[in-house]
Amino acid sequence: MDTRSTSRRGVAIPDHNLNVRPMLFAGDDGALVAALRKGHPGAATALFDRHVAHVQRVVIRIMGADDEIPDLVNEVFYQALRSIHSLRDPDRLGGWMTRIAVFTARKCIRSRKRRSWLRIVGDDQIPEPAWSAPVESSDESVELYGQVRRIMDRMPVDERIVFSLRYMDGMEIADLADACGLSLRTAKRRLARCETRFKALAATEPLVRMRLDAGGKWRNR
Amino acid sequence: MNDLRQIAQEAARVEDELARPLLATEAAREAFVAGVAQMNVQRRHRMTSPRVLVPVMAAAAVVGAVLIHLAMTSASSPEVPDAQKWVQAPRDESRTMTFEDGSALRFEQASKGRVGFDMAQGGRVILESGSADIHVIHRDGVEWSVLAGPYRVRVTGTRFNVAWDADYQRFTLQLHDGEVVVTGPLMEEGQVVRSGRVLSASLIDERLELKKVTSDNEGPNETAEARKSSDDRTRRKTRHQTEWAVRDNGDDCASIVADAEKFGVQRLARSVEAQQLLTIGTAARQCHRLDLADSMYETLRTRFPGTGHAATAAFYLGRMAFDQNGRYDEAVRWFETYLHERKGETLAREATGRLMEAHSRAGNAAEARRTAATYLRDYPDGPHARRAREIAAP
Repeated sequence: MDTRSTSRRGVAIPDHNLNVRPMLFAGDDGALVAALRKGHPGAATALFDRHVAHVQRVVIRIMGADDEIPDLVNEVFYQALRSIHSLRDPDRLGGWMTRIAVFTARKCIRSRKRRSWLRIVGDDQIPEPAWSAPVESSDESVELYGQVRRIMDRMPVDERIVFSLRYMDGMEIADLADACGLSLRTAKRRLARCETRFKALAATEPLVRMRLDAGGKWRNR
Repeated sequence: MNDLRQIAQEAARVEDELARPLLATEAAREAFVAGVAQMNVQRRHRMTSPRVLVPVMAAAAVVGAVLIHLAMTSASSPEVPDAQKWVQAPRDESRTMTFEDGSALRFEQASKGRVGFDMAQGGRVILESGSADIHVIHRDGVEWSVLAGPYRVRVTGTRFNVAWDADYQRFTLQLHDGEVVVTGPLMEEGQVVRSGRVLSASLIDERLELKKVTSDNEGPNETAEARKSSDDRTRRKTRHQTEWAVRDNGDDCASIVADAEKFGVQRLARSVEAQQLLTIGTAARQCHRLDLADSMYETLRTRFPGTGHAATAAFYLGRMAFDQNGRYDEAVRWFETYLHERKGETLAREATGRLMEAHSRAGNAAEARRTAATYLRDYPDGPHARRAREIAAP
């Protein structure tokens, strides 16, 4: 075998085996950003490993349990890698990833809405979301979820996003404003608007309406 | 907590349950890492805007491979290792790569795989198919790993040949110097292999064999299972097998078929054991000798009914009906036969996916949906999962 040596340095490669991890990067978020910018082997994988749980949570909150979630999550990370040089404060990598997740999900919803204008289909032809997984929740909770999602689908995209992050995910208003690229004041205004709209749209969803009407009784239990 | 938040959070709890199957798995992570590698390939070649990378990832992989292959064939000197390097040796030529630390690797003819190297961390080789000679120079604290199919070889300094035959699901490692540890199916705890030994594992046969190629005594770490397997193999030799034997997996399909025909196909079909019928059948299928493959598989099922080999033959008969002949109804029958005989075994996932697709192409929409639901239940992250969702959708 020819063993002439070379001086060129390569990087790690993706793994095809569950038992083996690619060569990983170690360091805090600031160091990780620096490593990503330099193309350090394993930095992209480290970014994925550190932030995937949070990113998919944000995307799921906005999109619902949707079959496209895995693709969207991957798209968030590809987008992050493409624009890593534009991140101004490397120590705020987490917040920056959240913002990319929000904008990626918003883009997907808008794209779907545009596509839906181009076709006329009956309600029975609209694909159902991936709700076939077995759940431990009661039938009533599952029905409630379906109604909440139907209401959200009828809300303007930006209101749907703040509703999902604030009410469903419990995100703090300051973080919500940052994730959506809004001032604190605008975020609060939008939240108030989405709450009003949600309640108005709930008129057509009996279970949600009943729960809202019965809210006072629950509090007294 | 106000009423609205209470409702929203109850909905969120249900959503978390429903979304559980969609959460990132090891496969998703793997896909991401592979996608990043393709991004790097594309960036280097300035082929297109990064925005379109995701939808064209598959195409990019092919284009990347071709570009690297062209670059390799135009160079007369040994290969320089690079990031995420895809290597495919031509059918009649091997490919050699050397590394900064003096280690070297040669992909044998028609072998393919990926190579990565870093001075500080060592190297990683993924052998997708074929065989490779690997010579690792020992350095303290630096380890190489070689992945061949489901097997992993941990190396700190040695010289060996490793082969993975995806069609026959067979792993072989021949160690020339040093010592390695192999982990994978049939040797989950790790199998130590020392100089002068050949380790081979067949997933189809579920057999593990460790044997000497020199006169050295067996090492203390050879497992009892491996020794027993070797003894069993010796006892099971027949007269016909000594007259005719399928050679090692270095043989290509054409030579196996030629040898079989020279010896006499009918005679072989009557006399050899199940594994050899399977081997000849698979070689014939790969050479597009469908008549011979069909005959071998059918003979195998007749002579060795109820065995694992017979079930495997059913699977391959299904594949032939599906791939080469477009006889989807027949493919359905064979895949169902395999699943009936060997449900839950090695090829069950592939058989279920193909059964679903065969039903779909045969126009059996209801059966296709039912099989898709089964597939999604049993293999939610399997390679046919996306297609299963399409078929299962109302």
